[in-house]
Amino acid sequence: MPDSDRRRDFEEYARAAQGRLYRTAYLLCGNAENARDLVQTTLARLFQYWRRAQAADCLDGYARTVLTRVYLAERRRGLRDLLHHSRQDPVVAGPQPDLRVTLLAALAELPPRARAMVVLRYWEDQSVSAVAHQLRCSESTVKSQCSRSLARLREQLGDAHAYAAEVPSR
Amino acid sequence: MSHDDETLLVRDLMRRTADELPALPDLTPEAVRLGRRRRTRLRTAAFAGVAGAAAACVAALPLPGPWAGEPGGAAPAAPAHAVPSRGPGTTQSGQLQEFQQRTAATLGATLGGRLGTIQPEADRADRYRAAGGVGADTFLVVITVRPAYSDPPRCVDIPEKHSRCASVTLPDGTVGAFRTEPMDGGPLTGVSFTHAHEGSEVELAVHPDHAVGLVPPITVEQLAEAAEDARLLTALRRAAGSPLFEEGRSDG
Repeated sequence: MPDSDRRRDFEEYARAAQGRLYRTAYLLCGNAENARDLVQTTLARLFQYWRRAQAADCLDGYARTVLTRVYLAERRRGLRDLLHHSRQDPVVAGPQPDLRVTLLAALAELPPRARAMVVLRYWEDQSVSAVAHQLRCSESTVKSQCSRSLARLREQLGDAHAYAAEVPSR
Repeated sequence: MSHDDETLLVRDLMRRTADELPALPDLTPEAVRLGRRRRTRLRTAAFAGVAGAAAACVAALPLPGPWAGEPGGAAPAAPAHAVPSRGPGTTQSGQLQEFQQRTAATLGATLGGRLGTIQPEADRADRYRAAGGVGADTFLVVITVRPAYSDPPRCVDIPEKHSRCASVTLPDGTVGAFRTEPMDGGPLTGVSFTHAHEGSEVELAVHPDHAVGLVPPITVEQLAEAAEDARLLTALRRAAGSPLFEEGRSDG
């Protein structure tokens, strides 16, 4: 396939996928600016290895895996922490926090890996085995981490007005 | 509330939170530009490694023609940035090549899991280029030998400079200082491992890539784990005892 075709394929995919990746990145990072940087890096990696990405069984899954691993790698490296010295982190729950701040503050309390598991499992609706594969850990680890994280979220969100709202219809 | 209800609530909260996101500009053109740059850098780094080894091989070969056997003749000049403080003769080139190959192999064996393939950088004994590791970026790995002022090396946190240090005793009793701190005058952090050996202080540092805004995919904890491998210490001590690093030792 000529390079121009490959590039066109990538651009088409990237434009369609970036919004979805952005939303996931936001839940992982907790602020829009870092989420945009994370998606930008993810798309650059996808383009760098586009041939490999296209050959994947599920391109969306491949992109999601890249996104999650870039997020975890950056957290490990402390880059985000370093950037926080110069950027104001808006995720601070006040006495009467709004819905967004409450959830993001609760997610921010989780360790990065646990946060990634929660986002993949409950936001992306990934199966336990898919999350385990993406994060290179055992299924039992995913189950126990998600269960613990959900309990912590429940504890944090328990008094929030929004969380006490009606269970959404299935 | 059942587990399923809780799950639904969390999912609903996530959806409502993500709905409030500001609009995203089109990131595609920048992704193409960055992705191309990453590819080029990866290829360049790989080529530099191969070219460096090839250059060392060529330098080790007997020279035919007018330069052959001419003491003090007009041999090709050594690059100005070469580390060796002695002349770039055949023996020195062979020594450099052997050192580079052994060191790159050891660095690859001990740090390759995080940093990928490690190649010597051109004709430098002290600089190596890691490419294709976690995140598939390229990072500079530098070995520095200087006189030791204390054994074990000084290890203190300097919060105002975002510099953190952990002192770790390795299995053979060596005490290493493992640091994460901004490097090369930029804001991004790299990691380093310093230890004292026979009057010299040897440092292994993995630098960030300021051009693309990335810090290396290895933490001080992971570097400390790698340093537990005796092969890494042996390679660093070989550098401390090598004439290729004489300049650093004498300069301090």
